[in-house]
Amino acid sequence: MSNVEDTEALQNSTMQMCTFRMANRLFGVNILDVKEVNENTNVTPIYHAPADICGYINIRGQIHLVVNLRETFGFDQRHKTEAVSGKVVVFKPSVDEPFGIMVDEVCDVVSVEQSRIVDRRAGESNTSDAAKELRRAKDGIVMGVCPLDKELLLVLNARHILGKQSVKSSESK
Amino acid sequence: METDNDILAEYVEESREHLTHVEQIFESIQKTGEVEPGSINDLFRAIHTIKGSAGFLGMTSIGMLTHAMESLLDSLREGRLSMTPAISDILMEGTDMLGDMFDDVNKSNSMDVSGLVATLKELNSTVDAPAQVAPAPQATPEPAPQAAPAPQVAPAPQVAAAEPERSVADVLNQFPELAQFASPEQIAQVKAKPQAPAPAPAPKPAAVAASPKAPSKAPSPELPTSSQDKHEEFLRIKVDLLDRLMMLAGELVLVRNQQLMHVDQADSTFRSITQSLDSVTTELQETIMRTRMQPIGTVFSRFSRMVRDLSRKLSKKIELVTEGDEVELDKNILEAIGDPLTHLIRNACDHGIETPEERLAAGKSDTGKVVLSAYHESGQIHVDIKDDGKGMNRDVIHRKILEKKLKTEDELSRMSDQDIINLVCLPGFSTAEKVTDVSGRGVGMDVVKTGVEKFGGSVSLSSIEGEGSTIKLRLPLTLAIIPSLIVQSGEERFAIPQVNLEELVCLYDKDAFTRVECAGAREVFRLRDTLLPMVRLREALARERMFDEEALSEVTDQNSEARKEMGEKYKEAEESGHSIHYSLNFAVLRSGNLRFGLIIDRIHGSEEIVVKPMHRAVKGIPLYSGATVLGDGKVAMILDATGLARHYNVRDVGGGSKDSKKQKATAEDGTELRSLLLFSNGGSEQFGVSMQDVKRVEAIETSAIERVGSQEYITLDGVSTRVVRLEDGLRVQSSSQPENMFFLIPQNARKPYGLLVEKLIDSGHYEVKLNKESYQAEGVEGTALIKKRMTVLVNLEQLMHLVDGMWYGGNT
Repeated sequence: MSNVEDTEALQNSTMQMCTFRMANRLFGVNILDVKEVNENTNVTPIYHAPADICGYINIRGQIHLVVNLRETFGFDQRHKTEAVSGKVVVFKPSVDEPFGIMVDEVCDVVSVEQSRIVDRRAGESNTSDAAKELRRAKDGIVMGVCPLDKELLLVLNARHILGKQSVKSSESK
Repeated sequence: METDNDILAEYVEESREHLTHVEQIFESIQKTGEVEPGSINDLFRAIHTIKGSAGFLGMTSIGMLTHAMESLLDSLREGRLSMTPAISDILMEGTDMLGDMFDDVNKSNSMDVSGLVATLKELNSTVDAPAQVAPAPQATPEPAPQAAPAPQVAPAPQVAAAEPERSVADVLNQFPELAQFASPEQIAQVKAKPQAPAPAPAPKPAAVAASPKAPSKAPSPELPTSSQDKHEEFLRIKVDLLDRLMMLAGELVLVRNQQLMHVDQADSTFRSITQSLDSVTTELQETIMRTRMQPIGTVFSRFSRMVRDLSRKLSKKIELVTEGDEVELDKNILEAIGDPLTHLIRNACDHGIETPEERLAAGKSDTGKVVLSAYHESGQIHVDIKDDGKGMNRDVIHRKILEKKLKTEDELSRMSDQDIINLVCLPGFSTAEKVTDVSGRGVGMDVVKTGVEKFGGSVSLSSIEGEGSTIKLRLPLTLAIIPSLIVQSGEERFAIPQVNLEELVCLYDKDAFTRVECAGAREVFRLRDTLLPMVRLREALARERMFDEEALSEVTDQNSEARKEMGEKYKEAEESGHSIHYSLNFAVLRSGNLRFGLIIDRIHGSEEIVVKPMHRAVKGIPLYSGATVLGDGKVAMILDATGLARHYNVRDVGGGSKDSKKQKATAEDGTELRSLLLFSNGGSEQFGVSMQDVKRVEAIETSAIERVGSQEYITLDGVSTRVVRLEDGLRVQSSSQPENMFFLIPQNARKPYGLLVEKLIDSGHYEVKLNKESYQAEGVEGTALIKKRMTVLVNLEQLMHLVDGMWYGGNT
């Protein structure tokens, strides 16, 4: 079901991506999913939460969950408090319950032709090392890889970021 | 057959309102036994309106049923019939049926109404003019094509049937649209026998709707229009819109808080603007909160029906009395208590109230009474369900508990009678000898208890054999905002809901490292004769796995090491003439029957917090019940006492049984265990107040008290608080006014005030045998012997009323 959605999304002509950097890699999410970029660094940790959950932040009275994708993907770990000092890309309520992801740096908005996004599920052998690494970490979050002029853009699907995580809680039920 | 969904939804909504109105009328008929002349008209109008639109929307079954009801009501209205129990029963049955049909309106046409319709007709046929009996509607139950009523000629006779005193000409004048549908012959036909109120052969209600505006918006002029006159100013608003409004108000409060923090005190213009922003914001938030409050009567009203049905089913005579219908509760709670209350009332009727014969034999009136009352107390809503039935038999419960192996003989022997009665809340318990379809499957009380506790309420039972039982529910006013204590552990602040909090204990200097002891692998504290297991919040947060014996002893060892070190340092410092100050804070929390001390680093104070549910990705963590935004904008987690106790593997360390033994020994001679705060006011008298009436105690300096006229005020947290002295209201010795005094702030006051007392003596659970004769005065509950001294128990609420009725805004 979700695969169908993804493929459909990939087939549309151009897509604007909100791009950001994490651990020196360039990532992008569909700009239509993004509500805002927030610099709130006052994160309240949630003890006993999965390791890739930073905690809660308050954005104008609404509590948002903050996810640390570095942990999700298993990138080189910086000190936890350092990770917390970044910016938060906050997603729209249509994506999931209120949440955002912690990023190192927010970059430009990039228009990408859909056809240039390589679905990593299709040709795995051709994809870069980075993508392989990601595949190992979490299935579903990375929709595909898009080569830009200088580097590769990893296209993420915001709807799957917490979807994957909730598997844990549904298993325990 | 497509119907516009919006119109349908509106119709269902409207019809439900009419049905509610109908039910109310029946209820009052039932209650008073008298039929007010206007009420039949009201009933008629309501049913008629439902019928009208039903036809238009193609609801044939609804149309058929309402038509039959309408005819019967018409006979009643005309005085051809008089209201008998049989008639009111069948009409109520019809109303119920309609309610069911509106629950799933799309399937309503497949519901079988023929039986009911036939009975209605039959009753109507007892009218003295048998010619008016309508032919059975099943004869031609051909569904009316809605939205295309043109070819149907039925309209005219139908309307005529409904309002037989009007001539067809009138009808046609009123609904000119109808005229074009009716063939001349038909009109002539009807004109020929204008007195015949016989309904059309086939009740095709679609017909009436030929003029869609007519049935609902244009009541026939002959009918008294009383109900149309009282236009109540209500507006239907979507709940999610209200929720959004509430959220926005919450955000506004935070913005206001930030503004207050940064306001330049020197700039008077800016300051006054900020002040008005402040007050408007507060008022706005309160008003929005109020929109969610609804009277509990809306829930109560459905029970009178239920009790009536039950009493018939069980062949008992039961009367339901409701009190405090106007008490308001948050919508969410109101929805949540429906089921538990249904259970409890069913229980009271089935198990509690005896059969009339049994009652007469026991010397009671043959009609059993179930009293359902709601009232405010101590900032909570209390709902009592009281019956005057046979009560609970302690021995039967005792036996059943043993039979079902829910507790051992030994455990039971240590319990008081009331404790044993409360065991009926255990899962799997039932005393009913046989399972009836009303109740007795042994899940009832357990479901009630868990249901009520889920939203922060509590249940307690008491019962006297032969005289009846009382079940008390205590409910929070609202789920959204709860009073809580803000504490700190490490860098983070946490909120502890006030309902879980029993008391706060601070140990200083030497006590901080000597009073906490080890019992096996656990740390315990001896709190007034009971052993309190201790939980270290810091450790609980640091360890993700549930605590086992190993982890517990590790923590205990570490801390006893640390304590030893502290002791040595303290000694050293003492010897060298320095002094080190240590302190240890813990909060005594209660979850169910477990009590434990939660060691925290700092206590910040109490705050009213807005509860937000946990994000779905972190919902499974047992430690938290939610999150909240604190005044400074930072998010804090709300601790869940039950989850915390479970995570830390807290077990009852056996301190509690002593208490209950005491309770057992004293329960018989009229004493009760009460939690009291004891104080003195300078003189030799000892006073006590109920701990649950006190919100907090503040140590103050008397020099800070200001006088305005004859009244005294003190500023606490920026609020001018009225100072009430004990001697203002009671004839007691006045205080010598030392420099340091204490200020008791009551729990449920809308205006800020507090009671000034000189010295706190102690607090805790005391056996109280209330003596009401020895010292009688307003503001005093009575006296009791506590700690071998005569103690005057002060009723804070009454005292405040006494001192200044205008000031006190508590219960109404």
